[in-house]
Amino acid sequence: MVSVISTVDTGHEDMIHDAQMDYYGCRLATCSSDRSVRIYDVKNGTQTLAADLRGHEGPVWQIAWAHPKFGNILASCSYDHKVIIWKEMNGQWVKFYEYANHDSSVNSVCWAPHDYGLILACGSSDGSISILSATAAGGWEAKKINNAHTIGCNAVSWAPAIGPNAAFDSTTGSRSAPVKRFVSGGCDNLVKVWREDKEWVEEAKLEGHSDWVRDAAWAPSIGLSRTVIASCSQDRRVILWTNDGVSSSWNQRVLHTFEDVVWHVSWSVTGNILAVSGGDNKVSLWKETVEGQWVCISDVNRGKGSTPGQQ
Amino acid sequence: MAAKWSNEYVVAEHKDLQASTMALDSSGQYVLLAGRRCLAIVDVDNPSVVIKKFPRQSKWEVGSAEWNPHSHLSHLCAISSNQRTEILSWNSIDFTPLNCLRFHTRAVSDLNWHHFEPYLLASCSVDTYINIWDIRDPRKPCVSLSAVVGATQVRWNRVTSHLLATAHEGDVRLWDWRKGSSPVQYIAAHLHKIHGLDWSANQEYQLATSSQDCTVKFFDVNNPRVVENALRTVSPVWRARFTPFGDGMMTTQLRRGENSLLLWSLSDLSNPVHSFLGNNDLVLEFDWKSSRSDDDDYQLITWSKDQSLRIWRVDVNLQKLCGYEPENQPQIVYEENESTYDVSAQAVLTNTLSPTSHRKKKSALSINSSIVGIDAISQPEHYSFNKEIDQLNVCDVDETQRSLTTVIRTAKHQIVLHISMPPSYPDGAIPNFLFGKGTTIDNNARSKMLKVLKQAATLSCRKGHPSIELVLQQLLISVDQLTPIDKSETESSKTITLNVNSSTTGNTSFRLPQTGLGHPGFLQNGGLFGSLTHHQDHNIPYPRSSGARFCSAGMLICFGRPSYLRRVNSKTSDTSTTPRSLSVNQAYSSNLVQHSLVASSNTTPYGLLYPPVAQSPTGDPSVSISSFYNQDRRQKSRTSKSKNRLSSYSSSSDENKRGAQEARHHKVVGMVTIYDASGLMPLQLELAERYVFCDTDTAWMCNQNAAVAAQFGRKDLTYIWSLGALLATPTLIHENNTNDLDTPWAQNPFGRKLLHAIIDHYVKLRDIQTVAMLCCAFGYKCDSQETFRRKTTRSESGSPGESPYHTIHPGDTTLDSWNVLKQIRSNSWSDSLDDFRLATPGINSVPSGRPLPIASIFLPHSVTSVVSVNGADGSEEYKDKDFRLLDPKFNGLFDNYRRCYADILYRWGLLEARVLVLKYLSTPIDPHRGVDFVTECVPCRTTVRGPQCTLCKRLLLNCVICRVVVKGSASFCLVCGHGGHGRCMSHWFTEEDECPTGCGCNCLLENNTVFSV
Repeated sequence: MVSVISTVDTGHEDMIHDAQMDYYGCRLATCSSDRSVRIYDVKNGTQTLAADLRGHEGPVWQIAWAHPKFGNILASCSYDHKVIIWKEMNGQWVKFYEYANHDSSVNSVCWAPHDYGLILACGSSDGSISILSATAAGGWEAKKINNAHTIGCNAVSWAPAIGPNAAFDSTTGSRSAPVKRFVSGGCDNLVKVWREDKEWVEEAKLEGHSDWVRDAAWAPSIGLSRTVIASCSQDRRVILWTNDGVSSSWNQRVLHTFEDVVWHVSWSVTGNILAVSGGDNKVSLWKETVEGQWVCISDVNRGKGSTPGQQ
Repeated sequence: MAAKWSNEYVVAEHKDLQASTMALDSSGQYVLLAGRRCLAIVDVDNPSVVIKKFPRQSKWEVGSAEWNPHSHLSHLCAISSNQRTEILSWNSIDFTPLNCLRFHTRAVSDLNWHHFEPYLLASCSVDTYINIWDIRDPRKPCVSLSAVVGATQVRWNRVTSHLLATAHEGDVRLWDWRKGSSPVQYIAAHLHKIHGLDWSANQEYQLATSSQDCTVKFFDVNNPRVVENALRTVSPVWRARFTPFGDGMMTTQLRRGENSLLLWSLSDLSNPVHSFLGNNDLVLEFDWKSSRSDDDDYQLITWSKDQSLRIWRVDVNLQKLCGYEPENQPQIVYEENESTYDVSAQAVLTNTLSPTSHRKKKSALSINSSIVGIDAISQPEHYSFNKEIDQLNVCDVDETQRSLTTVIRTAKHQIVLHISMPPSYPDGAIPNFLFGKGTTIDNNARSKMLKVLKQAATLSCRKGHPSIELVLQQLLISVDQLTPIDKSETESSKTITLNVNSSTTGNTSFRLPQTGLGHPGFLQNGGLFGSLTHHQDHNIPYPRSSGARFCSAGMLICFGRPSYLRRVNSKTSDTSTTPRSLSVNQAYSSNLVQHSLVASSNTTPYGLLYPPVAQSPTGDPSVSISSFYNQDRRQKSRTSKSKNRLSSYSSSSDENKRGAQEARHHKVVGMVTIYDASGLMPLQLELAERYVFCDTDTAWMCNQNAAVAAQFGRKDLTYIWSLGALLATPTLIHENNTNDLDTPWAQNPFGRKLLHAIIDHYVKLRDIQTVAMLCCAFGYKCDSQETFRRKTTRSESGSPGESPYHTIHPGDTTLDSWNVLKQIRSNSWSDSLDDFRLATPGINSVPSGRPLPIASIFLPHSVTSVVSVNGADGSEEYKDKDFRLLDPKFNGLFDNYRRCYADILYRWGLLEARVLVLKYLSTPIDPHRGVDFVTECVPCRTTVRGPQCTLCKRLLLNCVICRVVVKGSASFCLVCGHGGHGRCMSHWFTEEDECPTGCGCNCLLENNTVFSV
């Protein structure tokens, strides 16, 4: 049920740290220790290099595509303390904005749901989180949450724009603007939920990991009131945090303890499959059954070049 | 992370002794250094002088040595050498051999005096026996315990007098020496050899074992199956001992290069709270000198393989990190508010003569500001900076007054600076700076300096990393600016620093190459990026080198390390988990950094850590992140080689092959695989492409979609759609509900309830496609949007008699004002059409000429009429909403489903389907704000945002190419205003640049320039 569409030789000269397709699944962006970001057009199993973006002075850790309604925009963050927002203008990729107000490596970037406008969150090893928003005048505005995570922030992920309370919106027709939220994970072993309430405030502090949190991902919502956050950590565990949308409490549930450090968690578009990857070079896919149980449905072990297990 | 500053203050080398072990006597006065050639006694207060050297000239090394811990026998010392154990007596002048205990048949591996019986000594040996001696009777042991395997360690319990523990490879045995026939307890502690045992001094049954497998485990010996706690390090642990203060643990490593002693707090074993750096070789033995009465401090005495004795001061602050709580806290002043920071600045001064410049006196300043975090969970954090600063002397540090005095000497000036830190520093206040006597700069310069200092201090406080050192750095810079130093001199001093940095291995300098400052904001003028340090990297997570991401609608993007870089997941060692912080890379690359330091000085700043692989074809690729993996691989091949000597031929050829492969594949580091995971998703693109919508005939729509599902073998969906068709078939009402005509069908259990159950089921399956389609099929597109609009516009206009039809609402004109922003996207009309329909409900609900299908009985406007007909029968209890199959109560939820599906359709590029779905939203989507097209109806003199004039119903737009009226997607040139059907225009402009009308406008070019504004 999983088939290889194409294999892209990115031509990077050093380790790749992130790879993402754009909204439509037509373009692949990769970033690497060789300080470059590359963009490929992927069509029918063939790929052509569309751009090789140079501008970072250190390894590039993560990239993020903005919603296409803003144009073709890509954000990247790097060890060199910088966040660069790239934009395609007249077929050429240019540096759209550069943000250099962090004091240490920037480890994670994530675009807010497009409904809020063009907003980017960046988590840095200096412990702070920056929220960059595009202004109507074409400029950028930055808000900074200082000391969001002591020692350092490793991951940020936005909550979907569909508010958890939408179900209780009756026929009044008035749609209250959803509240902006995002989740972050850091070296203080904590996962934190932030809410915009004029200023950004810490809404919840989720304690469960016993070592650095490496990634956190807010599950896409399909409209249910329940929200789910997945987090993974150096302690080799993946924890799923659920909130019923009514109370402010979060339930934690350990998905699995893996053999090696877990680096990354990624939700499928419908939020029922979670891809987990980590230091052991393996990928496993986890699916929620109708009964609410999580089962591992495949292992992709790229090291051996084997294809994922047929379901 | 542990801070790595050193507070060592005495180093004494005794190269000539060749001692293999050290023992500190119970008074803490004398240190015995014992080796094959001699025994030596050193006074702790004057460690560089050997009081007495006692030649041995034995064939055998001294295995272990221990002073008797009891005060009246503290002159006795036991040393083991091969099979014998000697008891020596020290009378402050000379050694006299007292006894010689011979009973073991093979080498004695360890000794331990009893903690309560002064004359008892336990010894263990590889001959499998553990002997307990009463030294008053040296002829034979009083008890001899027999184990099957040899013992490496023996330790008496520190609370109970009859219990002792011995280590046998990876197992621990517990003995009650009163019944010595067999152990009272076995603990299978480790899979690897245990190097050290230690009992807790206050908890009777707590035992700690340190092992080759890089862990220290804690056991409650009554419950040997459970590891109470474990501590993991990166290298085999030689000794792990409880600290005499607080709840701490001190460990030493058994791996070359890991020469530091780590101090851990038992409350949090994830990270050491402190590292004692400085030893140039493995630490063989360490001991604690207990505090004197006037001083809370402990002294840590270590003996390392490089034959140096080091004495470190462990002050109260460090002890506190281990949970030690002094009874009288003199620092209570700073802890008025527990939630604020507790800061103590402490400076330890070491003067060493730099080997490269004897003229220059180097001062090492080490200030640590330890900040205890606000929340209890987050471990204490240390920002410490270790920097050799020329020209700077710290003269006086007063911890209780929180002040220090520094003297800065430059070529021309001398500055004496008193710094005092107010209690609220660093939480709001900044330190006070005062120039002291002896300062040679003038008042003008002084005020300038003060400004600089205050600025720097404020900045560092605000950034949350208060550091006096950084402030002082800033001062030095401005002093340099004040007195331009001779250029040659600066250069020479730079080269000296460089030499110091690169010559750290194997000379007297005991520091790690820590040259960075930690904070870039302060030193923009360079140097910083060139010298990346532990301080910067220790909190940067170790880079991901593999990963998987779901992207777009159903794609899974995987990237990973190439197979030749795969790490060996050797089950033999716990170090196989990936490190967490980037700083480990430094360890791997540090040796390379040194020789590349000069070479790559002209390359980009990150050259040290990350030279592009391609740039070093000849050399070692190990400076990249891949180094970690390469390193592992090499290690593995090395060990496998040594293990399989017999098959060395095959393995080496294998390795050659692999080496060649590696060379060939070396540059192929970045393969990204794109998987189509849509099979795993509850969504199907083919269905989405073919599903149909019909807002008037639900049953027809369901039947059509059932056929579509059948076409793709989705029997489940075929079934659901057929059911949907039945649900929507109005004849059922008449046939089945004859006796209950008044009850709306929706209230029937097979009506709304069934539909909701189906939807809920598919929600659980996360099949948003089916859910959203059902919501559309049974939704009321026009009506609901209409009512919404009607409601709002009415309240806005406030003209009651106004009909919603055939009028322009004031709301429409407000819509017009949204033509503000220009954006690329809206070359199509689909969006603005949406708005148009929302804004002018008349268009949509105008009878389309088709006869109303029977299904429209479900549409509320016809229903209301039904009700009003039957109104006389008293059935008004059924309101509008009761006739709907989808409960309007949940409209918000259903809208969410539709929006989610619309988003997925957008990702698939099915824009039309998306718009069709969005039309069913009960509340309109936010009107498009961007470039909008307005057409003008000339006869009516109105502007219209659609294809048809609202007043005269005239169709206004003709395509410039095919001359046919445009109703759907349209595209226009912003410059010349010509345009037509989206399809016609796109077809035209695939080949042409100019306007099809021949107006001469180069539409493509012009529009590009318009949009790039």
